[in-house]
Amino acid sequence: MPFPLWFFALDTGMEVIKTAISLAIGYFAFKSFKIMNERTLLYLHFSFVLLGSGLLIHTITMAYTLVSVLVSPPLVRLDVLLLRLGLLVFFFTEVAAYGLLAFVYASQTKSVAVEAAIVPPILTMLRYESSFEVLVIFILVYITYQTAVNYSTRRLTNSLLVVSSFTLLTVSHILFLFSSILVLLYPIADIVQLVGFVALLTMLLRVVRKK
Amino acid sequence: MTHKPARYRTPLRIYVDILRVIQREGGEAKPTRILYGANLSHDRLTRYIEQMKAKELLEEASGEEHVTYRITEKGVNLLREFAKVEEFMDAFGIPI
Repeated sequence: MPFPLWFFALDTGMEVIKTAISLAIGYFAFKSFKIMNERTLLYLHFSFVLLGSGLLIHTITMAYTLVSVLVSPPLVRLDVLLLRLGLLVFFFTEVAAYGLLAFVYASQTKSVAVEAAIVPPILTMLRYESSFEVLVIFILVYITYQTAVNYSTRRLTNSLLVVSSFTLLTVSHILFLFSSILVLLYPIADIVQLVGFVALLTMLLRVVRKK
Repeated sequence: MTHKPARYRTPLRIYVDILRVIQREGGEAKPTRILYGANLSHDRLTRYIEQMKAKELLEEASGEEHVTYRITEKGVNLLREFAKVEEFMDAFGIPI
């Protein structure tokens, strides 16, 4: 492990927070779907529940690895394998979740060029983690663009929070991608991602607390 | 980026439009006010009013000369929840 054990514990803690935020947004989208019966809300629900589920699996494998290292060090091959499996599941769910969200945005517009731009990378999905990161970055850039367009027309605080969140999530994935070259970028990416999720939570709390 | 033309109003959206007109009028409104405010024909308004009365979203309040409709507690709650969902979707920029 390139980082001390305390960072691994901190990383797991941050993943727990991200999971909770994703599932909370998924829950609110489902609650809204029950009121409105709008399909887009159901897609939004599935998108965040997928993301939350992937994060949850990743968190569980991280926590398991952490506990097994603490109980009986050193790290054995099975622990690493489990950790990698959890990460792989997380990558798949992340691509599916952001892909679904991008689809929701694409279906709101007539822009065929954008839809066409999303499809090929999904079809040519590769096995390597860096390819997953590139794919996630690609989808997130599109979502960020759509949320930025929304903010530029509405100028609402909540829209600003959403565009900030997706910008931070995009930046975090770019940092994750380059962390294979410069390891120090990994904790920075992790914190940036957490701040992105917190921005989404702030938006959700502002909506829910409205009287 | 070209947006698709506006979709038709769902029954829930029409309920909300009716309730918003009544709320704007101070919680009670005449049918003609609702008709213009919610942009509905007389037949459709009558049909929706009946549905909303059955759902207890509004109630009839017969005055001395005219029939008026009053928003109920359930109607106020629906408007409140709808506003939250609208704000949530506006934050993402996804129209409902």
